[in-house]
Amino acid sequence: MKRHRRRRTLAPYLFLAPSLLCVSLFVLLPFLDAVRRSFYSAMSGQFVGLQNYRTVLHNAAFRLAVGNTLRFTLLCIPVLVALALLLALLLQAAKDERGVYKTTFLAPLAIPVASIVLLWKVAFHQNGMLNSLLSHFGVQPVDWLQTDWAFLVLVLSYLWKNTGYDMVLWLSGLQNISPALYEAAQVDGANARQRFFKITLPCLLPELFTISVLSLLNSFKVFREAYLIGGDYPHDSIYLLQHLFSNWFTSLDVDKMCAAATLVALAVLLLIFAMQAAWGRKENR
Amino acid sequence: MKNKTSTKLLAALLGLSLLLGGCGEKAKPAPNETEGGETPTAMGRYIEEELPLPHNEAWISHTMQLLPDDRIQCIGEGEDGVLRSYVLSGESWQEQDVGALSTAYQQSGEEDKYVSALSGTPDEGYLMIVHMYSDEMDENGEPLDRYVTLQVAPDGTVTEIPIDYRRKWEGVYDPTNPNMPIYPSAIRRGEDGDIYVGAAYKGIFRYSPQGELKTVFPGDGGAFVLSGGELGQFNSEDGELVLFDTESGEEKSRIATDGLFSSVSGSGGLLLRDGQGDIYRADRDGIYRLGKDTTLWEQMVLGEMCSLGLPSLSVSGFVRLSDGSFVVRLWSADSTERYVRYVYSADTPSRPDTRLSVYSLEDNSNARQAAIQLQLKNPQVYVEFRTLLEADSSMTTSDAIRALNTELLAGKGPDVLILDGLPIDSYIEKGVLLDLEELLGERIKNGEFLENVVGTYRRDGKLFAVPTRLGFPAVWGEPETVSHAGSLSALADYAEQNPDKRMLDHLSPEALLRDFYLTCAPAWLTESGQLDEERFAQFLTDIKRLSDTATGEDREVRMNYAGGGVQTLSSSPFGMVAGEFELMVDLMQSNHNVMLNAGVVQHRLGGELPQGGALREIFAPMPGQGGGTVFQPLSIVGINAASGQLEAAKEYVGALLSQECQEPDSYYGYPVNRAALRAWTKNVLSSVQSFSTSNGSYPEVVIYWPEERVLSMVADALEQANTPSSYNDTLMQMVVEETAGFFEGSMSAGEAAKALSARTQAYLAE
Repeated sequence: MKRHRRRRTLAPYLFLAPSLLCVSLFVLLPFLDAVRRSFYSAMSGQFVGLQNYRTVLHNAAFRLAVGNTLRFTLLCIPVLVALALLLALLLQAAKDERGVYKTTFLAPLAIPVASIVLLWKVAFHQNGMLNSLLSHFGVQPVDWLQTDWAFLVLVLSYLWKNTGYDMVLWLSGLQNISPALYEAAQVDGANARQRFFKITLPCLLPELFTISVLSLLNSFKVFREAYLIGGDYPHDSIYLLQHLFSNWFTSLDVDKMCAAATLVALAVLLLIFAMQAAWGRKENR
Repeated sequence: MKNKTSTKLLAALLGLSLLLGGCGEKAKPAPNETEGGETPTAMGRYIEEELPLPHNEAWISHTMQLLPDDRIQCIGEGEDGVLRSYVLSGESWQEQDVGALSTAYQQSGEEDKYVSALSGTPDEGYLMIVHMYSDEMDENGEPLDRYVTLQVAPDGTVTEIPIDYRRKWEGVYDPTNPNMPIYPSAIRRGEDGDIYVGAAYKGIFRYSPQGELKTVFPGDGGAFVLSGGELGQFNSEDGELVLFDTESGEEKSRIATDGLFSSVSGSGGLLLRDGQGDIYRADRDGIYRLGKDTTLWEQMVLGEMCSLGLPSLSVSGFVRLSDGSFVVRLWSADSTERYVRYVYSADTPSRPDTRLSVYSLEDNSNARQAAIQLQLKNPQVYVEFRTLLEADSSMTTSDAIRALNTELLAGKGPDVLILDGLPIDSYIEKGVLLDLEELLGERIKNGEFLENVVGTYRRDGKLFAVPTRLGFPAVWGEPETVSHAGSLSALADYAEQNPDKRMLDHLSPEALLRDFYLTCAPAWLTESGQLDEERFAQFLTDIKRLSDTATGEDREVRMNYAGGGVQTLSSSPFGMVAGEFELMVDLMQSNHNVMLNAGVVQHRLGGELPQGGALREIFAPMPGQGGGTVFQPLSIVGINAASGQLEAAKEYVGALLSQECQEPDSYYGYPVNRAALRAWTKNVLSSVQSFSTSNGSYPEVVIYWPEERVLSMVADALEQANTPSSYNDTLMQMVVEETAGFFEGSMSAGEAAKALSARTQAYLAE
């Protein structure tokens, strides 16, 4: 029995081995090396203990980047999750045209980032389409990309690009809820609001965890748009952690970069664990 | 059960195959490898030998060719304007009489003249084109120079061939301007008795012995080969060698060069064809051979390892001897020449054992010059010069720096770095660069170099990087105006007091920000890297005062940062001569800058520059905000502390700073070597340059090489330079963006300074 159980648990690992090997080689080991480098000086290799961490935490640029990244994450993820859920619910109701709407909302994912940035520049440049439209209403032109408005443009870009993806994940979750639950609730006299809050939302909690984690990870990819719009040093409002890491690498501040990366990774990991504890699927023991 | 077993087996096999796939039996040695895995050294290389000069006097060569008896003949003229011929026999030159050729040249015309093209031998006779200069212009502003084509027969008979070169040819290949007349630069007699004339950027023109045009072979002209009923010349648009049938004029074939040559246009590079029909090309890239009826170019001599690659020299003569060796004449812009021979040595390794890698962000002629000079003195060293940003590459500067940093972190970086555009302060802070104090400290103390310049990157008594050249921002103009250009504020005051005078050529806010950034930034950027808001606000105010003096359609307020790290610091010579503005601004990097600016001011002053001490009043350092004299460090060199070739790297740095390397004018920076700087002041050439507009909107401006006193004046000012300043594209972009509101009137200078301070916080805090 024991041998049989051991054989059953061995098979998945054998299948996982090749992927695990690649992930270890290209992700895990480099990350561990980055953690190691965070305790040493960049070029001389001298052990400096926590000095790099102290330098990073006192660095004004790091604080600015962390603040912007946090602000972006805290604003975008709830909005994105809620908006995607709303759209999924609407699509769930529209049985006939669902395919068309799904394609429409997923289309932004397929557009290359460079093309998107080109569109944003045409739309939001000081001489762009939006200012041209607003001038008809007597509004003074605004430099959308070089002022605090740049943050809003970035949020808009992120929402526009990722709503479809989250919507599809919500849809999948919605379709996994057994209709029998709704029927039983209806029989018991529950109205639509009650069914939503008592059945739909609780059943979607595991999906909420997955979608939140994926949205969090996707939020870091918005750096591409920010970089293409503003270069190495964009407006302060869209100066993100990746800008800082990229610039630190250019100036060979690899020690600070590794320390900051370690701190960020720890923070993200803790957040994911917290979300899993709150919303994750409870495994049968 | 069986399925589960087979599933497990499959999984195990998959995992094992991935784990073990990379291992295998030891690879069999490649054909040129030994069993021990070592590759034997490839042997055989052309070695350069210096040949004596044919003469000891000032001399202009017109042609170098191979005589039927395998001797080399050079024909040129001395300062007396008499043509002479020298023939190389063995290791020495013998003067030979050219008889009727010299007489024909003397009698060709009374005007100032020059031999534009010459070919032939004493036995076959000569063909010569004489360029007669003229001061008159045609309706398009083109000078009415004329060309006289002469044929000198072996018996001395001189015949003029009536070829009209000024006729404009429709449809002739010209990537720059199809309406320009042709300027002949090569002439040859074909096997068919016809005359072939080459004109750069136009093509080859075939004339009958009577001067009647028979065929046009479109192409780059300049250099061409002609034998066996075939004519070959380059086409720079496609980068191909095109072979024509001389009889029909039709293209026979095209041979691609696949980017082998850095340039195939105009007169860059010379071609020759040997008796077997092989074609050879000599240029800065080296000597290459194209076998008859083949399409592959074979490298015979690598330019970057010999004098061919020296940026200060260009190929002006090229022959191949019957023993397979090559003789090349190299010409320098200061009209000196060298003759070198390349002889094949089968016992010499094709590549030296010691390899020194030199990296530069962009191409740097000073660094290349030093690389070749080091190799010539040390044949056992091969200097691999690499440019991080290639010409056609889409890589950005940041990408290139990151790629370099990756190599440095892996311990595989280059031995020597040309640090222009690289994060020097970061490299110094991280210990990437070697301390050069021991290497150069004594020489600096002895006054061999401009101490203020070479000591720019000295930190705590250690010298980590050394600028080997410098740029000097300056203004030129009439004494009255220059006297008020002591500072930016003083210039703005003077501009406001004289509203009828336009101070500078470019008066838009962005142009002014760029022009004055170099000289003013040291005042408002503190040593700790913070912005002095008060001084920056003053800077903005003065810039606005200057900009506001522009009137009418010249007034441009809107800022639109174009990026690219381009500094303006240029002025139109036409506008200055015409009195449209008062001051020329320029970043002085070469005596050619002096020629332009002094020549233009000379025109402005009615044709004469002031004498004695008054000369100094037409020239001044570009106004700034501080008390120092600003210079721009250029060609900054550093040695990678982790280099495995430290001795060779130190020799390279020594070569870069040597008088020999610093004396040639590379157009990219004045020398920091004092002896070389003083030699520059003695380098009085006979250069003449003229500027004219295509639509004749301004009269032609002709300027001459400046006198020694003018060159000395500039050199004296350079020696006083004491404040380094470099362009920072990132900071420049922030300045332009954050001050746009101020120039548009929506914020005060103080507010703009605060905005910039806030904007630069992240950048400076990093």
